[in-house]
Amino acid sequence: MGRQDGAEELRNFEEFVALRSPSWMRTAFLLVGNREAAEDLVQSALERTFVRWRRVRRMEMPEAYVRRIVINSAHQAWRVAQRTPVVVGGIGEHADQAFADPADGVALRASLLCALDELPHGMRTVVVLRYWEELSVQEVAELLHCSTGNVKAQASRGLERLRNLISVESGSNRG
Amino acid sequence: MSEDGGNAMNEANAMDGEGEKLHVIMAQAADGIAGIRMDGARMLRARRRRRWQEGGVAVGILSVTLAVSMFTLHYGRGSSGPAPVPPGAGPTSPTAQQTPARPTSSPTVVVPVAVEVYDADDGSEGAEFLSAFTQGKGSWLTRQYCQSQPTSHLRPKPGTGLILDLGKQTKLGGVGFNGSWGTVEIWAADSSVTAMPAVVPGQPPAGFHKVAIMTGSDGKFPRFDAATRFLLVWYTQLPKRDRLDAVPDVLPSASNTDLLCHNADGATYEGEITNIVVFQKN
Repeated sequence: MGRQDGAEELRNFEEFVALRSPSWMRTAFLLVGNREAAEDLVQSALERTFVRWRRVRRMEMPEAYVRRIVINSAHQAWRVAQRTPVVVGGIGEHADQAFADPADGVALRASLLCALDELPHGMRTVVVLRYWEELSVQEVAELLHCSTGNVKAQASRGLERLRNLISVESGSNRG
Repeated sequence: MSEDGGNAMNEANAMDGEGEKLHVIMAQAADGIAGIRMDGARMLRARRRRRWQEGGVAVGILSVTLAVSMFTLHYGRGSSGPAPVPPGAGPTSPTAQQTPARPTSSPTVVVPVAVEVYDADDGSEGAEFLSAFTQGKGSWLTRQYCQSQPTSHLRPKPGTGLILDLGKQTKLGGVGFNGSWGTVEIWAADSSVTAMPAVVPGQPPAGFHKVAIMTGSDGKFPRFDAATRFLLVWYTQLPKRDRLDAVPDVLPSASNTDLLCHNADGATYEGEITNIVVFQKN
Protein backbone atom coordinates (compact mmCIF):
# COMPACT_ATOMS: atom_id res chain seq x y z
CA MET A 1 0.00 0.00 0.00
CA GLY A 2 1.40 3.40 -0.99
CA ARG A 3 1.86 6.31 1.36
CA GLN A 4 -0.96 8.20 -0.37
CA ASP A 5 -3.35 5.29 0.09
CA GLY A 6 -2.37 5.11 3.74
CA ALA A 7 -3.07 8.82 4.26
CA GLU A 8 -6.41 8.48 2.51
CA GLU A 9 -7.27 5.51 4.70
CA LEU A 10 -6.37 7.43 7.83
CA ARG A 11 -8.54 10.37 6.73
CA ASN A 12 -11.41 8.05 5.99
CA PHE A 13 -11.08 6.43 9.42
CA GLU A 14 -10.86 9.85 11.07
CA GLU A 15 -14.17 10.87 9.49
CA PHE A 16 -15.77 7.65 10.71
CA VAL A 17 -14.49 8.30 14.24
CA ALA A 18 -15.60 11.95 14.26
CA LEU A 19 -19.11 10.90 13.30
CA ARG A 20 -19.52 7.96 15.65
CA SER A 21 -17.27 8.50 18.64
CA PRO A 22 -19.73 10.57 20.75
CA SER A 23 -22.10 7.62 20.78
CA TRP A 24 -19.35 5.12 21.71
CA MET A 25 -18.02 7.47 24.39
CA ARG A 26 -21.40 7.89 26.06
CA THR A 27 -22.06 4.18 26.00
CA ALA A 28 -18.59 3.48 27.42
CA PHE A 29 -19.14 6.17 30.07
CA LEU A 30 -22.38 4.56 31.21
CA LEU A 31 -20.68 1.16 31.24
CA VAL A 32 -17.66 2.13 33.30
CA GLY A 33 -18.81 5.27 35.10
CA ASN A 34 -15.98 7.70 34.40
CA ARG A 35 -14.72 9.66 31.46
CA GLU A 36 -11.06 8.60 31.57
CA ALA A 37 -11.83 4.89 31.63
CA ALA A 38 -14.39 5.39 28.87
CA GLU A 39 -11.82 7.17 26.73
CA ASP A 40 -9.29 4.39 27.31
CA LEU A 41 -11.84 1.81 26.18
CA VAL A 42 -12.76 3.72 23.04
CA GLN A 43 -9.16 4.58 22.09
CA SER A 44 -8.18 0.97 22.51
CA ALA A 45 -11.15 -0.13 20.40
CA LEU A 46 -10.13 2.35 17.71
CA GLU A 47 -6.59 0.98 17.57
CA ARG A 48 -7.90 -2.54 17.17
CA THR A 49 -10.30 -1.39 14.49
CA PHE A 50 -7.79 0.70 12.54
CA VAL A 51 -5.34 -2.16 12.09
CA ARG A 52 -8.17 -4.10 10.43
CA TRP A 53 -9.87 -1.09 8.87
CA ARG A 54 -9.64 -2.30 5.29
CA ARG A 55 -11.65 -5.33 6.34
CA VAL A 56 -13.96 -3.64 8.84
CA ARG A 57 -14.99 -0.79 6.53
CA ARG A 58 -16.51 -3.34 4.16
CA MET A 59 -18.84 -4.59 6.90
CA GLU A 60 -22.47 -3.64 6.85
CA MET A 61 -22.23 -1.83 10.19
CA PRO A 62 -18.62 -1.03 11.07
CA GLU A 63 -19.78 1.10 14.01
CA ALA A 64 -21.29 -2.02 15.62
CA TYR A 65 -17.88 -3.71 15.37
CA VAL A 66 -16.33 -0.90 17.43
CA ARG A 67 -19.19 -0.95 19.90
CA ARG A 68 -18.77 -4.69 20.40
CA ILE A 69 -15.07 -4.25 21.12
CA VAL A 70 -15.91 -1.52 23.64
CA ILE A 71 -18.40 -3.81 25.39
CA ASN A 72 -16.06 -6.80 25.35
CA SER A 73 -13.20 -4.68 26.68
CA ALA A 74 -15.39 -3.41 29.50
CA HIS A 75 -16.24 -7.01 30.39
CA GLN A 76 -12.59 -7.96 30.33
CA ALA A 77 -11.67 -5.02 32.54
CA TRP A 78 -14.35 -6.02 35.00
CA ARG A 79 -13.15 -9.57 34.99
CA VAL A 80 -9.55 -8.57 35.51
CA ALA A 81 -10.55 -6.33 38.40
CA GLN A 82 -12.52 -9.25 39.90
CA ARG A 83 -15.06 -6.75 41.02
CA THR A 84 -17.84 -8.34 43.02
CA PRO A 85 -20.90 -6.18 42.84
CA VAL A 86 -22.84 -5.64 46.04
CA VAL A 87 -26.49 -4.90 45.79
CA VAL A 88 -27.72 -2.58 48.47
CA GLY A 89 -31.06 -1.21 49.48
CA GLY A 90 -34.54 -2.60 49.22
CA ILE A 91 -37.79 -1.32 47.90
CA GLY A 92 -37.90 2.25 49.06
CA GLU A 93 -40.98 4.19 50.01
CA HIS A 94 -40.40 6.59 47.10
CA ALA A 95 -39.95 3.81 44.56
CA ASP A 96 -42.91 4.88 42.52
CA GLN A 97 -41.45 8.39 42.20
CA ALA A 98 -37.89 7.39 41.44
CA PHE A 99 -38.04 8.10 37.72
CA ALA A 100 -40.93 10.49 38.07
CA ASP A 101 -39.22 13.79 37.54
CA PRO A 102 -36.37 13.92 35.07
CA ALA A 103 -36.15 17.65 35.70
CA ASP A 104 -34.86 16.82 39.15
CA GLY A 105 -31.83 15.70 37.21
CA VAL A 106 -28.78 16.83 39.14
CA ALA A 107 -29.26 14.50 42.06
CA LEU A 108 -30.55 11.73 39.84
CA ARG A 109 -27.51 11.96 37.58
CA ALA A 110 -25.16 11.24 40.47
CA SER A 111 -27.53 8.62 41.82
CA LEU A 112 -27.71 6.91 38.46
CA LEU A 113 -23.95 6.41 38.20
CA CYS A 114 -23.80 5.07 41.77
CA ALA A 115 -26.76 2.79 41.12
CA LEU A 116 -25.26 1.49 37.86
CA ASP A 117 -22.11 0.62 39.82
CA GLU A 118 -24.22 -1.69 41.96
CA LEU A 119 -25.48 -3.81 39.06
CA PRO A 120 -23.73 -7.01 37.95
CA HIS A 121 -21.88 -6.05 34.81
CA GLY A 122 -23.92 -8.24 32.48
CA MET A 123 -27.09 -6.63 33.76
CA ARG A 124 -25.52 -3.18 33.50
CA THR A 125 -24.60 -3.87 29.89
CA VAL A 126 -28.12 -4.99 29.05
CA VAL A 127 -29.62 -1.92 30.76
CA VAL A 128 -27.28 0.46 28.93
CA LEU A 129 -27.86 -1.16 25.56
CA ARG A 130 -31.61 -1.44 26.05
CA TYR A 131 -32.41 1.90 27.65
CA TRP A 132 -29.53 4.11 26.54
CA GLU A 133 -28.73 2.80 23.08
CA GLU A 134 -32.45 1.98 22.76
CA LEU A 135 -31.66 -1.27 21.00
CA SER A 136 -34.52 -3.72 20.73
CA VAL A 137 -34.53 -6.88 22.85
CA GLN A 138 -33.61 -8.83 19.73
CA GLU A 139 -30.71 -6.51 18.90
CA VAL A 140 -29.30 -6.72 22.44
CA ALA A 141 -29.60 -10.51 22.33
CA GLU A 142 -27.73 -10.59 19.04
CA LEU A 143 -25.01 -8.27 20.30
CA LEU A 144 -24.48 -10.21 23.53
CA HIS A 145 -25.09 -13.64 22.00
CA CYS A 146 -27.78 -14.66 24.46
CA SER A 147 -31.48 -15.37 24.29
CA THR A 148 -34.18 -12.71 24.05
CA GLY A 149 -35.71 -14.16 27.23
CA ASN A 150 -32.46 -13.54 29.03
CA VAL A 151 -32.33 -9.95 27.81
CA LYS A 152 -35.92 -9.31 28.86
CA ALA A 153 -35.30 -10.74 32.31
CA GLN A 154 -32.02 -8.83 32.82
CA ALA A 155 -33.52 -5.58 31.53
CA SER A 156 -36.59 -5.89 33.70
CA ARG A 157 -34.62 -6.80 36.84
CA GLY A 158 -32.06 -4.12 36.10
CA LEU A 159 -34.71 -1.46 35.71
CA GLU A 160 -36.38 -2.51 38.93
CA ARG A 161 -33.10 -2.60 40.82
CA LEU A 162 -32.12 0.84 39.54
CA ARG A 163 -35.48 2.21 40.57
CA ASN A 164 -35.03 0.84 44.06
CA LEU A 165 -31.44 1.97 44.39
CA ILE A 166 -32.18 5.46 43.16
CA SER A 167 -35.25 5.77 45.33
CA VAL A 168 -33.28 4.66 48.40
CA GLU A 169 -30.59 7.19 47.64
CA SER A 170 -32.96 10.02 46.87
CA GLY A 171 -34.94 9.08 50.02
CA SER A 172 -31.80 9.30 52.11
CA ASN A 173 -30.87 12.60 50.48
CA ARG A 174 -34.24 14.02 51.39
CA GLY A 175 -34.23 12.59 54.88
CA MET B 1 -60.25 -6.78 25.96
CA SER B 2 -60.48 -8.56 29.32
CA GLU B 3 -59.57 -6.72 32.48
CA ASP B 4 -56.53 -9.00 32.95
CA GLY B 5 -55.40 -8.38 29.39
CA GLY B 6 -55.82 -4.67 29.88
CA ASN B 7 -53.78 -4.75 33.07
CA ALA B 8 -51.00 -6.72 31.39
CA MET B 9 -50.93 -4.19 28.57
CA ASN B 10 -50.84 -1.31 31.04
CA GLU B 11 -47.98 -2.96 32.92
CA ALA B 12 -46.00 -3.35 29.71
CA ASN B 13 -46.67 0.26 28.81
CA ALA B 14 -45.71 1.40 32.29
CA MET B 15 -42.38 -0.44 31.95
CA ASP B 16 -41.81 1.19 28.59
CA GLY B 17 -42.56 4.54 30.21
CA GLU B 18 -40.00 3.86 32.92
CA GLY B 19 -37.51 2.84 30.31
CA GLU B 20 -38.02 6.15 28.56
CA LYS B 21 -37.53 8.03 31.82
CA LEU B 22 -34.34 6.07 32.46
CA HIS B 23 -33.14 7.03 29.00
CA VAL B 24 -33.69 10.70 29.84
CA ILE B 25 -31.71 10.34 33.07
CA MET B 26 -28.95 8.51 31.23
CA ALA B 27 -28.88 11.28 28.64
CA GLN B 28 -28.47 13.81 31.45
CA ALA B 29 -25.74 11.73 33.06
CA ALA B 30 -23.84 11.40 29.80
CA ASP B 31 -24.45 15.01 28.78
CA GLY B 32 -21.15 16.72 28.14
CA ILE B 33 -19.40 13.48 27.22
CA ALA B 34 -18.11 14.41 23.80
CA GLY B 35 -16.50 12.31 21.12
CA ILE B 36 -12.77 11.81 21.16
CA ARG B 37 -10.11 13.25 18.94
CA MET B 38 -8.49 10.45 17.06
CA ASP B 39 -4.76 10.31 17.56
CA GLY B 40 -3.54 9.56 14.03
CA ALA B 41 0.02 8.93 15.17
CA ARG B 42 -1.24 6.40 17.72
CA MET B 43 -3.25 4.63 15.03
CA LEU B 44 -0.24 4.44 12.72
CA ARG B 45 1.92 3.16 15.57
CA ALA B 46 -0.72 0.47 16.23
CA ARG B 47 -0.62 -0.51 12.58
CA ARG B 48 3.18 -0.68 12.59
CA ARG B 49 3.05 -2.79 15.74
CA ARG B 50 0.53 -5.03 14.06
CA ARG B 51 2.84 -5.48 11.08
CA TRP B 52 5.67 -6.37 13.40
CA GLN B 53 3.35 -8.83 15.07
CA GLU B 54 2.45 -10.30 11.73
CA GLY B 55 6.16 -10.75 11.32
CA GLY B 56 5.85 -12.16 14.79
CA VAL B 57 3.41 -14.70 13.38
CA ALA B 58 6.49 -15.99 11.68
CA VAL B 59 8.62 -15.81 14.80
CA GLY B 60 5.98 -17.03 17.24
CA ILE B 61 4.63 -19.88 15.19
CA LEU B 62 8.05 -20.75 13.81
CA SER B 63 9.50 -21.12 17.30
CA VAL B 64 6.80 -23.68 18.13
CA THR B 65 6.67 -25.34 14.76
CA LEU B 66 10.40 -25.80 14.37
CA ALA B 67 10.41 -27.61 17.66
CA VAL B 68 7.45 -29.70 16.52
CA SER B 69 9.27 -30.39 13.30
CA MET B 70 12.29 -31.59 15.29
CA PHE B 71 10.04 -33.87 17.32
CA THR B 72 8.43 -35.18 14.20
CA LEU B 73 11.78 -35.89 12.62
CA HIS B 74 13.05 -37.50 15.76
CA TYR B 75 10.07 -39.62 16.68
CA GLY B 76 7.97 -39.66 13.59
CA ARG B 77 9.86 -41.93 11.20
CA GLY B 78 9.22 -45.62 11.24
CA SER B 79 7.80 -45.61 14.73
CA SER B 80 4.52 -47.21 15.62
CA GLY B 81 4.33 -45.30 18.91
CA PRO B 82 1.99 -42.43 19.72
CA ALA B 83 2.07 -39.25 17.70
CA PRO B 84 4.54 -36.71 19.07
CA VAL B 85 3.21 -33.88 21.17
CA PRO B 86 4.29 -30.31 20.48
CA PRO B 87 6.55 -29.09 23.24
CA GLY B 88 5.12 -26.66 25.73
CA ALA B 89 1.71 -28.22 25.40
CA GLY B 90 -0.57 -28.64 28.40
CA PRO B 91 -2.33 -31.76 29.63
CA THR B 92 -3.03 -34.41 27.04
CA SER B 93 -6.71 -34.80 27.79
CA PRO B 94 -9.18 -33.49 26.92
CA THR B 95 -7.16 -31.02 24.88
CA ALA B 96 -6.20 -32.39 21.51
CA GLN B 97 -2.51 -32.27 20.79
CA GLN B 98 -1.11 -34.00 17.80
CA THR B 99 0.90 -33.59 14.70
CA PRO B 100 -0.41 -34.62 11.33
CA ALA B 101 -0.28 -38.05 9.83
CA ARG B 102 3.35 -39.02 9.65
CA PRO B 103 4.95 -37.70 6.51
CA THR B 104 7.01 -40.02 4.39
CA SER B 105 9.86 -37.51 4.03
CA SER B 106 11.17 -34.66 6.13
CA PRO B 107 8.37 -32.14 6.60
CA THR B 108 8.87 -28.46 5.90
CA VAL B 109 7.04 -26.12 8.21
CA VAL B 110 5.15 -23.33 6.48
CA VAL B 111 5.05 -20.09 8.41
CA PRO B 112 1.86 -18.08 7.85
CA VAL B 113 2.33 -14.42 6.95
CA ALA B 114 -1.02 -13.41 8.50
CA VAL B 115 -3.85 -14.83 10.58
CA GLU B 116 -7.39 -13.41 10.70
CA VAL B 117 -10.63 -14.34 12.42
CA TYR B 118 -13.38 -15.79 10.24
CA ASP B 119 -16.41 -16.17 12.48
CA ALA B 120 -19.24 -16.11 9.90
CA ASP B 121 -20.48 -13.07 11.82
CA ASP B 122 -18.65 -9.73 11.91
CA GLY B 123 -15.04 -10.82 12.29
CA SER B 124 -14.81 -9.77 15.95
CA GLU B 125 -14.92 -13.19 17.61
CA GLY B 126 -11.87 -13.55 19.84
CA ALA B 127 -10.24 -10.58 18.08
CA GLU B 128 -8.77 -9.49 21.40
CA PHE B 129 -6.85 -12.78 21.66
CA LEU B 130 -5.45 -12.80 18.15
CA SER B 131 -2.37 -10.74 18.85
CA ALA B 132 -1.23 -12.93 21.74
CA PHE B 133 -1.97 -16.03 19.68
CA THR B 134 0.09 -14.92 16.69
CA GLN B 135 3.00 -14.08 18.98
CA GLY B 136 2.83 -17.51 20.58
CA LYS B 137 1.93 -15.95 23.95
CA GLY B 138 -1.58 -17.30 24.35
CA SER B 139 -4.53 -19.09 22.86
CA TRP B 140 -7.16 -17.80 20.53
CA LEU B 141 -10.58 -18.30 22.10
CA THR B 142 -14.01 -18.35 20.56
CA ARG B 143 -16.98 -16.72 22.23
CA GLN B 144 -18.85 -18.70 24.79
CA TYR B 145 -22.07 -20.24 23.58
CA CYS B 146 -24.98 -21.95 25.27
CA GLN B 147 -24.70 -24.99 22.99
CA SER B 148 -22.01 -26.73 20.99
CA GLN B 149 -23.25 -25.19 17.75
CA PRO B 150 -21.87 -21.67 17.33
CA THR B 151 -24.52 -19.09 16.53
CA SER B 152 -24.78 -15.68 14.95
CA HIS B 153 -27.73 -13.41 15.63
CA LEU B 154 -29.26 -16.34 17.50
CA ARG B 155 -29.24 -18.51 14.40
CA PRO B 156 -26.86 -21.44 13.92
CA LYS B 157 -23.83 -20.47 11.90
CA PRO B 158 -21.66 -22.84 9.90
CA GLY B 159 -18.62 -22.42 12.12
CA THR B 160 -16.01 -20.12 13.58
CA GLY B 161 -12.25 -20.09 13.35
CA LEU B 162 -9.10 -18.64 11.88
CA ILE B 163 -7.80 -18.17 8.36
CA LEU B 164 -4.06 -18.54 7.82
CA ASP B 165 -2.43 -16.78 4.89
CA LEU B 166 0.54 -18.94 3.83
CA GLY B 167 1.82 -16.18 1.54
CA LYS B 168 1.75 -18.24 -1.64
CA GLN B 169 0.14 -21.32 -3.15
CA THR B 170 1.48 -24.25 -1.14
CA LYS B 171 1.15 -28.03 -1.42
CA LEU B 172 0.12 -29.19 2.01
CA GLY B 173 1.50 -32.25 3.71
CA GLY B 174 -0.60 -31.95 6.85
CA VAL B 175 -1.78 -29.73 9.66
CA GLY B 176 -1.01 -30.08 13.34
CA PHE B 177 -3.50 -28.67 15.82
CA ASN B 178 -3.11 -27.97 19.49
CA GLY B 179 -6.20 -26.82 21.30
CA SER B 180 -9.56 -27.96 22.55
CA TRP B 181 -11.38 -30.46 20.41
CA GLY B 182 -14.98 -30.43 19.42
CA THR B 183 -15.38 -30.85 15.71
CA VAL B 184 -12.64 -29.02 13.87
CA GLU B 185 -12.36 -28.89 10.10
CA ILE B 186 -9.66 -27.77 7.71
CA TRP B 187 -10.78 -25.87 4.63
CA ALA B 188 -8.51 -24.86 1.75
CA ALA B 189 -9.03 -21.95 -0.64
CA ASP B 190 -9.27 -22.35 -4.40
CA SER B 191 -6.59 -20.69 -6.49
CA SER B 192 -9.14 -17.98 -7.36
CA VAL B 193 -8.85 -16.61 -3.80
CA THR B 194 -5.99 -14.11 -3.85
CA ALA B 195 -6.71 -12.01 -0.73
CA MET B 196 -7.89 -12.63 2.81
CA PRO B 197 -11.67 -12.95 2.33
CA ALA B 198 -14.13 -10.51 3.88
CA VAL B 199 -16.33 -12.09 6.53
CA VAL B 200 -19.81 -12.89 5.26
CA PRO B 201 -22.39 -13.42 8.03
CA GLY B 202 -23.80 -16.93 8.12
CA GLN B 203 -21.49 -18.21 5.37
CA PRO B 204 -18.14 -19.96 5.17
CA PRO B 205 -15.56 -18.00 3.18
CA ALA B 206 -16.24 -17.94 -0.55
CA GLY B 207 -13.94 -20.14 -2.62
CA PHE B 208 -13.01 -22.46 0.27
CA HIS B 209 -13.72 -26.19 0.48
CA LYS B 210 -13.39 -28.75 3.24
CA VAL B 211 -10.33 -31.01 3.06
CA ALA B 212 -10.22 -32.65 6.49
CA ILE B 213 -12.26 -33.06 9.63
CA MET B 214 -11.20 -33.92 13.16
CA THR B 215 -13.63 -34.97 15.84
CA GLY B 216 -13.00 -35.62 19.48
CA SER B 217 -13.22 -39.36 18.93
CA ASP B 218 -9.82 -39.78 17.31
CA GLY B 219 -8.20 -36.40 17.89
CA LYS B 220 -6.36 -36.42 14.56
CA PHE B 221 -6.76 -34.89 11.16
CA PRO B 222 -6.70 -37.56 8.50
CA ARG B 223 -4.17 -37.30 5.68
CA PHE B 224 -5.27 -35.04 2.84
CA ASP B 225 -3.91 -33.54 -0.36
CA ALA B 226 -4.46 -29.88 -1.15
CA ALA B 227 -2.62 -26.98 -2.70
CA THR B 228 -3.67 -23.60 -1.39
CA ARG B 229 -2.54 -20.21 -0.15
CA PHE B 230 -5.27 -19.80 2.50
CA LEU B 231 -6.25 -22.31 5.13
CA LEU B 232 -9.32 -22.12 7.36
CA VAL B 233 -9.24 -23.87 10.74
CA TRP B 234 -12.92 -24.09 11.51
CA TYR B 235 -14.84 -25.12 14.62
CA THR B 236 -18.23 -26.49 13.65
CA GLN B 237 -18.96 -27.95 17.12
CA LEU B 238 -17.47 -26.51 20.29
CA PRO B 239 -16.49 -28.38 23.43
CA LYS B 240 -18.01 -27.69 26.84
CA ARG B 241 -16.17 -25.01 28.72
CA ASP B 242 -15.82 -27.04 31.92
CA ARG B 243 -13.30 -29.17 30.04
CA LEU B 244 -11.23 -26.09 29.43
CA ASP B 245 -11.38 -25.07 33.06
CA ALA B 246 -9.08 -27.98 33.84
CA VAL B 247 -6.40 -26.51 31.59
CA PRO B 248 -4.16 -24.07 33.45
CA ASP B 249 -3.54 -20.53 32.26
CA VAL B 250 -6.50 -20.30 29.93
CA LEU B 251 -7.12 -16.67 29.12
CA PRO B 252 -10.41 -15.16 30.22
CA SER B 253 -13.13 -15.20 27.64
CA ALA B 254 -14.51 -12.10 26.13
CA SER B 255 -18.19 -12.56 26.07
CA ASN B 256 -21.14 -12.68 28.36
CA THR B 257 -20.35 -15.30 30.96
CA ASP B 258 -22.55 -13.68 33.54
CA LEU B 259 -25.62 -14.14 31.38
CA LEU B 260 -26.63 -17.63 32.33
CA CYS B 261 -27.48 -20.15 29.69
CA HIS B 262 -30.95 -21.58 29.87
CA ASN B 263 -29.94 -25.11 28.96
CA ALA B 264 -30.32 -28.08 31.26
CA ASP B 265 -26.95 -27.88 33.01
CA GLY B 266 -26.14 -24.19 32.51
CA ALA B 267 -23.00 -25.21 30.60
CA THR B 268 -21.20 -22.95 28.18
CA TYR B 269 -19.23 -24.03 25.13
CA GLU B 270 -16.01 -22.50 23.86
CA GLY B 271 -13.21 -23.37 21.46
CA GLU B 272 -9.53 -22.76 22.07
CA ILE B 273 -6.68 -22.93 19.58
CA THR B 274 -3.25 -22.93 21.19
CA ASN B 275 -1.22 -23.38 18.03
CA ILE B 276 -1.46 -24.60 14.47
CA VAL B 277 1.36 -26.19 12.55
CA VAL B 278 1.26 -26.35 8.75
CA PHE B 279 3.53 -28.72 6.87
CA GLN B 280 4.42 -28.43 3.24
CA LYS B 281 4.45 -31.57 1.14
CA ASN B 282 7.92 -32.38 -0.09
